[in-house]
Amino acid sequence: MNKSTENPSPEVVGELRRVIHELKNALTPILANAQLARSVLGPDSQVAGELEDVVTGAQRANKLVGEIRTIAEGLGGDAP
Amino acid sequence: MTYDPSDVNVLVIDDDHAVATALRRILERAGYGEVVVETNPESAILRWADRDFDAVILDLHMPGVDGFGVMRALVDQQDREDYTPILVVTGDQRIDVRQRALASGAKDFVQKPFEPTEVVARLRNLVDTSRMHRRLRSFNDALTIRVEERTEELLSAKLEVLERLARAGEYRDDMTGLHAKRVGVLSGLLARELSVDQERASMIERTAPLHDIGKIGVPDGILLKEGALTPEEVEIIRGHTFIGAGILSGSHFDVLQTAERIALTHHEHWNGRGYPQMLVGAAIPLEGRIVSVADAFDSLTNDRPYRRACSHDMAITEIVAWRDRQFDPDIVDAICRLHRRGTLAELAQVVAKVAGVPLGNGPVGEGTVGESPVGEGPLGGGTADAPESGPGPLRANAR
Repeated sequence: MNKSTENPSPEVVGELRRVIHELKNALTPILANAQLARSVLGPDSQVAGELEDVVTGAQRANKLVGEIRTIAEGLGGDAP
Repeated sequence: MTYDPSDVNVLVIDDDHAVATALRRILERAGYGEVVVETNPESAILRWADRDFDAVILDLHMPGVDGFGVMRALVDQQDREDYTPILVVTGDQRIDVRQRALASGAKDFVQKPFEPTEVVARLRNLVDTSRMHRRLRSFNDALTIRVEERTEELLSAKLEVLERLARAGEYRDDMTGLHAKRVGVLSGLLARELSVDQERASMIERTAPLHDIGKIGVPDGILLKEGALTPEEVEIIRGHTFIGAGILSGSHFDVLQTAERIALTHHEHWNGRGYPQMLVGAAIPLEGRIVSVADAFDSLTNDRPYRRACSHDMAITEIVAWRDRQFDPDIVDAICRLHRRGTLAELAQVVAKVAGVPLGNGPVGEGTVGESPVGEGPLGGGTADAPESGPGPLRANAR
């Protein structure tokens, strides 16, 4: 059995980590700005529902990023 | 402790422009006075060097200088005791990364993507701590200064008491205390001329006036005796070195320990023929060797009941004649240099001015025994037959 088919190379794991990092960076302004806008406009705002959905969506995406991270850890073992 | 966020300035360092902007907006909404955003770590370091920020929000993963490099640079720019208020924002959840960040100077973390309320809450804690640190620091500095002032006062009081005691001891021959003061100033000059460090030189200057404090223990009948002294009486006079050292002994103050060494050793001779311990050369403490020369010069250049003061040139010639015998050759060379530069000529004026005493040759009676050492040398006959109150200053030559 070839080990390399079971475990991806450190380069692949590293690349995966980079993407996770970028995803978190991308989600950060979405979540932060939506929450800021929500608190500025208040709960009675015309777009309160829309903003709520952005926040919820971003949080959901973040959870998924967390899951990908767990998978990456499983693949990489003591990966970086 | 509470503070007004409008007084607080924050430096945000993140290479991701959208993240940095989101952070700036969060802080501005929370009322923070000034939020400076830097997406380039190198220029962020320069910004930090430029001015004091109350807090830094820092991304860990950046190209070029990463967050660890930035923290090292920021910490390096500060004193060791300074608090570096660094809040790290990172998507990295690894424990070892966090530990490294803490070791590099991070004080707290916020996980990306962050909630605005969490960023504001953590930042507030950080600024609180930072400001308390500053307060504590300036409070400590103020306390340190006060303690130093009080210690100095205490020491001055001790020295003043001892100076007055010395004056009492010398009252019979140095009523004004001017001789003691001049010996102090000249000893300080000599120490500096010998490149003794500033602190030690001023210690020598302050303690040299106490060199004859032990005379307080010599009875009038012997100290003021006219005519020849018996060998026993010479021994008693020589005892002023031991008595002085005894008065000054047991202090934990460096300055009084120095005074003790001077009192004990200022009559030792370079060639080992002085007293009381007959120490030779460098075995005599430097302070003692310096005061020995200063004492001789001042005695020679001031009137005594049995002779007029001799000129500075004559005094220097006399001291040079005893170079390598009574005096440390290096110190003789040093006083010669001071003489050539005209420093010695100003000495009496300087001391009189400081002491607030009009210039003159002192009251009659000054110097009957005075600083004349009992022993070999220009100021002492070296035998009981030619004691202190002998015929003249250049007794050694006359012998």
